[in-house]
Amino acid sequence: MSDALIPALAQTRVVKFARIRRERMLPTRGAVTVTAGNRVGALDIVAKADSAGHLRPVPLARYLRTKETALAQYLLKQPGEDVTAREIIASKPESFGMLRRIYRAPGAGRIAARQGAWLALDLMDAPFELRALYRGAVISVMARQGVVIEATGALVQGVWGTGGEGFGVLRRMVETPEEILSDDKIDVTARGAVLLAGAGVTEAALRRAAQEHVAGLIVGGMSPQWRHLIAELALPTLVTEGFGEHPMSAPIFDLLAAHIGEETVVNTPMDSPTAIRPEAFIPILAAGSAGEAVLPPSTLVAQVGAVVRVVSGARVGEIGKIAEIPNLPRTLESGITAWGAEIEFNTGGRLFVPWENLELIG
Amino acid sequence: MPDSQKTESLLVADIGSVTTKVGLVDAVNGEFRFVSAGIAATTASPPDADLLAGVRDAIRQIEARTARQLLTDDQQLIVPGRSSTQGVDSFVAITSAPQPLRVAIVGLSRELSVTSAVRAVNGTHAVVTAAFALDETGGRWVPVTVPPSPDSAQQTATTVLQDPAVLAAEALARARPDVIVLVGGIDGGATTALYDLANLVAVIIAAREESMRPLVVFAGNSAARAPIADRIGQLTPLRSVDNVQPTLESANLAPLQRELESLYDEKKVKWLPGLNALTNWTSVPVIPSSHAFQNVICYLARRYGLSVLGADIGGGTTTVVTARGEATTRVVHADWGIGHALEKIIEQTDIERLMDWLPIEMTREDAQARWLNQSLRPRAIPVSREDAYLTHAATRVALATAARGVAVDGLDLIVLTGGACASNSNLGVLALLALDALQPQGVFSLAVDPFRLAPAFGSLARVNAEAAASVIERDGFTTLGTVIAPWSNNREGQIDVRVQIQPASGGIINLEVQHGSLELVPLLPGQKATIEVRPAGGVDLPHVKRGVFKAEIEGGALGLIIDARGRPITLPSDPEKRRTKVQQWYWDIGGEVAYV
Repeated sequence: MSDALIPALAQTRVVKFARIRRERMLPTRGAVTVTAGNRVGALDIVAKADSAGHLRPVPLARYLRTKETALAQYLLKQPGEDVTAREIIASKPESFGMLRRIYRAPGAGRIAARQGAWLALDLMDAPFELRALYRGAVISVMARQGVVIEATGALVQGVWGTGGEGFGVLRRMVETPEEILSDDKIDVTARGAVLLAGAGVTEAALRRAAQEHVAGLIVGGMSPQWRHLIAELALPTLVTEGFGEHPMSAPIFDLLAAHIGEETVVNTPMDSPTAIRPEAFIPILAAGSAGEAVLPPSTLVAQVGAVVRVVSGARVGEIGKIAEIPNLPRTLESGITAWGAEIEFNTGGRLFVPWENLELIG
Repeated sequence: MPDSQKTESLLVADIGSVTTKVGLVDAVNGEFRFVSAGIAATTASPPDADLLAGVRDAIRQIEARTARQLLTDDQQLIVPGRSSTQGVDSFVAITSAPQPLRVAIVGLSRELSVTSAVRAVNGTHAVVTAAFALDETGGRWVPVTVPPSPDSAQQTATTVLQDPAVLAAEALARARPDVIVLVGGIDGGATTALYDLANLVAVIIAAREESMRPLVVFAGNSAARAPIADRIGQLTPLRSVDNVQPTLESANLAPLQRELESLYDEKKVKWLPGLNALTNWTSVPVIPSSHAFQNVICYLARRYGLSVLGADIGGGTTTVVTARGEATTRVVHADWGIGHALEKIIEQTDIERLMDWLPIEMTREDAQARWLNQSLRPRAIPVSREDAYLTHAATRVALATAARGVAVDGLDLIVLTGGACASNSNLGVLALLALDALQPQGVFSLAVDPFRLAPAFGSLARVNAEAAASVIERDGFTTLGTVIAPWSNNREGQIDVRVQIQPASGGIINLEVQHGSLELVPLLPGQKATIEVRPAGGVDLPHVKRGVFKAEIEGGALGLIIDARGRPITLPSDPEKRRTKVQQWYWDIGGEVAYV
């Protein structure tokens, strides 16, 4: 079969040692606190913003029972000025000056704009501090927006993330990748750690993990029912295989298990076309791995001998090697005729799998 | 016959959100014909973030299959062609890969202007991220739970009363749309409330940094244009179009839809990574796939004088187009499909509605997990029968939802294209999915797009109309056959119709079709037959004269389908009986037989 007829397969990177570059961006404009060339630790602040941005438009003229054209004369604060919580922003005399109708700021912030009858308040949440997350070097700065950090270490890509990010020491919570993480395994020692689970996690374990303020969770599978719960718990979670109960793939589990006790980043951005895939990263200093070349992860190629993971259908999640690339398509049980490859699995056995249901892993 | 002065070999690319299809069209024996295709993953997102990578992968497959060199050593398309084995004369591309335009709607009345604006947005590559209707913001203040402030001594959440107008305005500000559509007021009506809305829009825009401000489209009372421009035009680009609700009785969606399509092109299509390089290959702009598909459906309607419905069920977008004479409607459900957008279907649809169409027993959790996994790996194809059933169920719901509100009666032809065709190579299944999802009545033909390139073929008309017409007619669609779908209020088991089929050659076939059943009578492609359909009492079929409907029909890959399941199709409430029924329909239409 011509190489051109082998489609480019999806890839999941599971790399012992690679150099990566990651953008770290503020949610709103602010100030970058580092310069290009600075070395940063995971918890170092690289940029700050006064607020994550919470705009509250208020129909002020209606509240003061006045016309929009008359509103300006009652304003005590003007657009651009800061306000403190409960500070009077507008005051209108009533009953011949004996009473005043006032409007107080619902929280600290800034008067962002005024137009007609409306006033927009930019309410301060807590000031937003952007941490480096990746230990490495700042290689570029985007003024008022963020930085790009270059880091070296072990990288594991997942398939789904809950949003959010965490950083802590990696703790192994299960003996095997097939095991389900239950709440009795989580205690106070999990606080601030990134937990390595197996094929799934129980609801009680998720609640216990949130209660103990764990920094992150890495798990093979996730019940679809826990998607909303986990978002409510704000527990950064990296799912490596998919929804349902799925043992974590051996290369992923083995790589993570080799770094137990080391600082680990869990970065799980929500799905978006420009976002990176959810990932776990264990920083390793380049100098600490003498003899190994520090290069960006190489591109994987679909060819006989390449290591692949089945992502759908029979033997989903299993790892194997491309043993043979047939010259003709085959008809599947579903009735669909598809091109693909014969896969020899690490656990034994051989199966034809369509190209679309394979991804390169490594 | 191809004109030597015109282009003779053409390459068409359809860059979808999941896959990129490229087709080669060339003059064969004096006619333009589809020659070969390549299919690759779309590479608009990281890690490639360059859609040319996927287009090149697909082109290389065509090179390997046809021994025709299309790319130079530095991977540029050879256009115009140098010889019959090197390059092509023209290249045309369409796309549905960009993210949809995020639109917030601000209007006076939920029932009138806001509803009309939502309908207009639903006909374009846009999604409504927030809708603010002034008439919903009055009334009592509502209790809202406020979490404790991190710097406050208070540790527990508190409940405060909030103005519904402020809550709605906050939601509008949070939506961070690409475009705000401001609507309200009938032409010649009052304007005061509209100006208040314009002030709200202006204050939200003014609070944003200039580079992050959304654009505003005003589609309200045309008398208010100048004052609205005074309030908003200084802050952000403002475009005014005809009122979407010019009178209380009528809506005018087209001008707003045209403007949104134009903005989609400016703000989404043109920003696709790699598009600039791609445009060096093509002499005509890259257009949205839904436009190209609409052109194909309109062409079929005009060419054959038919009422046609076309459904394109993709990984990220589902489009339904109808063309009846000169009247055309198009509904685009952006972010709604059977690929990555399946997650949205799971989120927004009662899961039981999906489960109802499964002929096998499966737990809700297992089914939900598999659908979500399909959305994570949208290119994956069903291997087992169970996987196929899950895909079929999702396809039915995706299409049924997208076609809600579209008139499906009185059609002559229904055509299907998109990823659904790729995942369901069984033609019987495709027919079943179309019938289950659309539930059309009457007598009509069914066709599918086997190469999923029909929309791209339609776009060829921009460089060579003759090639487009030729390749659509000869290679664009596979006719499945003719469907007879009567309306009936009979009970299960009662006779709905008696059918006599007299093929041009062969014996007469007489059938009595019971209510609730689906019958398939094989009739080969090109084979003609005369049919006489006699509806029983309580059964309605269009064009029945003196109790008989007579027609001459032509066969297809399936033949004649008699769908006597009634409208709407009622599924048994008992799960076991429901599964048996759905399974029976699969068997009836040959949906368990693989076409190799």
